[in-house]
Amino acid sequence: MTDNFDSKWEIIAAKIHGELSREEEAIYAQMMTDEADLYGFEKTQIIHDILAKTGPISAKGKLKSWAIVESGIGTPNFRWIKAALKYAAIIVIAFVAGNLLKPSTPAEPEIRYSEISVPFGQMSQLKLSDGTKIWLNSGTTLRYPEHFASDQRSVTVIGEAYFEVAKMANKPFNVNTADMKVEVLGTSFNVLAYNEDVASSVTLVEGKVVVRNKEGKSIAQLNPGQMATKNKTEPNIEIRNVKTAFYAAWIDGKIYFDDEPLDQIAVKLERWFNVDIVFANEQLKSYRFTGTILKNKPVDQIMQALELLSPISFKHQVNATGRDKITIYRRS
Amino acid sequence: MDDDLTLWKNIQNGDTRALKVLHDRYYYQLYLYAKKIYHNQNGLDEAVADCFIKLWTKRNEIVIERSLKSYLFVILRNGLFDLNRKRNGIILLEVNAVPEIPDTETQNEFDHYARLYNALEKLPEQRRRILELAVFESCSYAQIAEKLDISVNTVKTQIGRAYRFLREELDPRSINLLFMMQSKFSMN
Repeated sequence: MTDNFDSKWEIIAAKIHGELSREEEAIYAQMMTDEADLYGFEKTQIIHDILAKTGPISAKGKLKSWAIVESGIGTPNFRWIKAALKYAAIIVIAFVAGNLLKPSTPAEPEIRYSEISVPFGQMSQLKLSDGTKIWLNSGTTLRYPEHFASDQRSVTVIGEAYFEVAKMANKPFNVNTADMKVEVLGTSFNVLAYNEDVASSVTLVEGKVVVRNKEGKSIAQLNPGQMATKNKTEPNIEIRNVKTAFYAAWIDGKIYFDDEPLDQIAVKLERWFNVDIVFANEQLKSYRFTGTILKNKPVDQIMQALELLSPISFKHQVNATGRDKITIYRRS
Repeated sequence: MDDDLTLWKNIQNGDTRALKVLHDRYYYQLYLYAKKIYHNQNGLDEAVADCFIKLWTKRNEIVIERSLKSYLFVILRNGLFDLNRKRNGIILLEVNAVPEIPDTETQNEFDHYARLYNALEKLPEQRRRILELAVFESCSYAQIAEKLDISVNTVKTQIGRAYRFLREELDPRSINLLFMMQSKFSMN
């Protein structure tokens, strides 16, 4: 089915993929003087852009999905598989039960770990078996034992977490991060240790904590209201007094910024709202901002608040299938 | 084509073909929604398929109040939430942000994306493969020709025809809406 439209479509497609020869560029330019073709091209570009941005979803996915449905609702073809699975299950159970019945050695039981990851744009709260409460901020991973050892309690965090540790005098609570250890004796504190951030910090709200380096050497002891910050590339730790309310505000759904540059604020907003933020103007990155904003508002309202308080404007580009994009401009 | 309510009646009467029509109608929308919420995770396929299994097994108990489509999004949202919880092996006491169920407007946006993917699915095998290499893997025409052992000219013709087909397959309203979604700025 070759008609004179075919060659036009070839040129439109080649333009989209940057494959036009010089002669074709000329033909293309001529086509563009014809408004109908201009229109057609513009909208064809959209087809490419949306597919490229959304990514592949194979037609096989649909077939595979229906196959799962068919087996799940037990249409005739799949009944025997279900029957076979039933016996497989019985065998597995027997095997496990057999293992359980074996007399166990009285040694310290092996510690099994669980891991929880909070997706970007979400927050969660959990309670450990000892009664300790933990709030996890967006994009945070917590690793903890299903049962604590008899002499200590120990968890690992990547990201930001707020702890209310249940008091147990002879069983210290340890929080490990990539480059610090925090030893606690019944207390409330905030740990900030995202992998992509340059520094990690511990902020103590009440109680007492000891901060140790990776090797376990004590490097600081904090009193309530103090924050210890460690730059990943430096061995030393910086201790200063802070308003703890700022650093624990996120657990109440507030966002705090304490004289923070916009590029760091952008990193936080990206995590919390699951968006991509880009700066149209490099200098804006170092503009500093102080304030508290309610987090459970749409990202546009947060941006509008920032817009009121700093020399920026923004554009929000919606992407129905991936992360939305927000571009920050200098306000003219 | 049967509307959703007719399909739902037939499903309640035990018609698996109606379930398949419904599945094929909403597969891409639901998958895209799942992908938007948990873009990095495995098991999205199972989560989508599971919606239809749940719908089928509870077909005599479920009362559809708003629309069957919204109901599918709700089942999927809950399923994804469970999936996430099970994977983490923990019971969350409280989660501040349960994923939002898309409102009617967002559901319609997914419809238009789905139309595009359904059109893509209809392309002849080789033409689709060529287009996919160019769009998803950013291959040049020469690279595609080499990979598939065909001439650059064939690649060129096939990609032109692929775009023509997609452009003609999508009604003007879909194209316009996709166009608007791409350039939608919430303000300024």
